[in-house]
Amino acid sequence: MDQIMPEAALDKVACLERVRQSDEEAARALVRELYPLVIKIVRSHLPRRTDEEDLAQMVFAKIFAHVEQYSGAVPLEHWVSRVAVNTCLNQLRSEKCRPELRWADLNQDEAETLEKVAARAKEPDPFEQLAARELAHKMLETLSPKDRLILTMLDLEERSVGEIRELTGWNASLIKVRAFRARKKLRKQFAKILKEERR
Amino acid sequence: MKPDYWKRLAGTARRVPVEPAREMPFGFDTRVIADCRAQREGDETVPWARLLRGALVCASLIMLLSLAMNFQSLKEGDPGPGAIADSAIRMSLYP
Repeated sequence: MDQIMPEAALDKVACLERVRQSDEEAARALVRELYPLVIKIVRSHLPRRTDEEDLAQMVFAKIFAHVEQYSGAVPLEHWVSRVAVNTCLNQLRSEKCRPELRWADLNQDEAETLEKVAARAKEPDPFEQLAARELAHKMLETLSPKDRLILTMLDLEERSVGEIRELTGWNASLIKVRAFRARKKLRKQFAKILKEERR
Repeated sequence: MKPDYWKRLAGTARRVPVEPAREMPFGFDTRVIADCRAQREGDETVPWARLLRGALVCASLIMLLSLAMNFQSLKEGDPGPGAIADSAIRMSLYP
C-alpha cells in the first residue's frame, strides 16, 4: 500500500484512485504535485488579511473532501483549478467590507504611480511597476468578489474569456457584461480620485 | 475620448515579472492530511451528535410536560409553615 512514488512522473489517475481508498501517502504525493498550481491561483486572488498557506490548505481540504466528484472527464489540473478559484471566490465573499478608495488612502508610491498613469509619463521602472500592481489590487478590492475575480483574470493575468468560463463555470456573456461594468466602475473611481487630487 | 486609466494601470501592473512558484513549505502536506483526517472524523461523529442533541431535547420536553401536569399537586402537597400554623389554630379553636 505504502509504495514510494517517483517525484518526476506521478500517475495522477492512479494516485487519485489511491486517495479515494484513503491512502495518505498518495494524498501527500498529490499535494506535492499540485501545490505550485494551487498556490499560483491562491496568490492571484488572495483576499486581504488571509494567509496564502491557509487558503491553499482550504483548497486541498476541499479537493480531498470532494475527490469522489472528479469523474476524469477533464484533466485533473482543470478540476483542481476550478476548486481553487471557487474557494478563493468564497473567501473573497466573506470579506464583507469593500471600502471605496480615496486619494488619502494611497501611499506615496501609489499616488505617484497614479499621477504617472494619468499623465502617461515615461516607461515605468520596476519599482513603479510594483507600485502599479499594488494600486491595481487596491482598486480591485473595491469591486464585488465576482467582478474582482473576472478583472484579475482578464486584465492582470491576460486570460481569455474561454479560460475564465472553464475555471468558473459562468457563461461567456455574463463574464463580458460583468467585465464591462466593472471596468466602468473603476474608470469612475479613477476620475473621482484624480479629481480629489487636483483639488 | 477619455483615457482609460485602468487599462494603463493594468498594463503597467502586468509588467511585474511573475514570481516563481515557491517550494512547498515544510510540513504543509502533513497539515493538509491532518486537516482532512480531522474533518472526516468530525463528519463521522455528526450523526451521533445529532442523535444526542435530539435525545436531550426530548428529555427536556418530557420533564417540562411532567412538571406542568403535576404542578397543581406539587403546589398543594407542600404547605408552607404559615398554613400549618393556621390549620393548628383552627383545629384548636374548632375541635
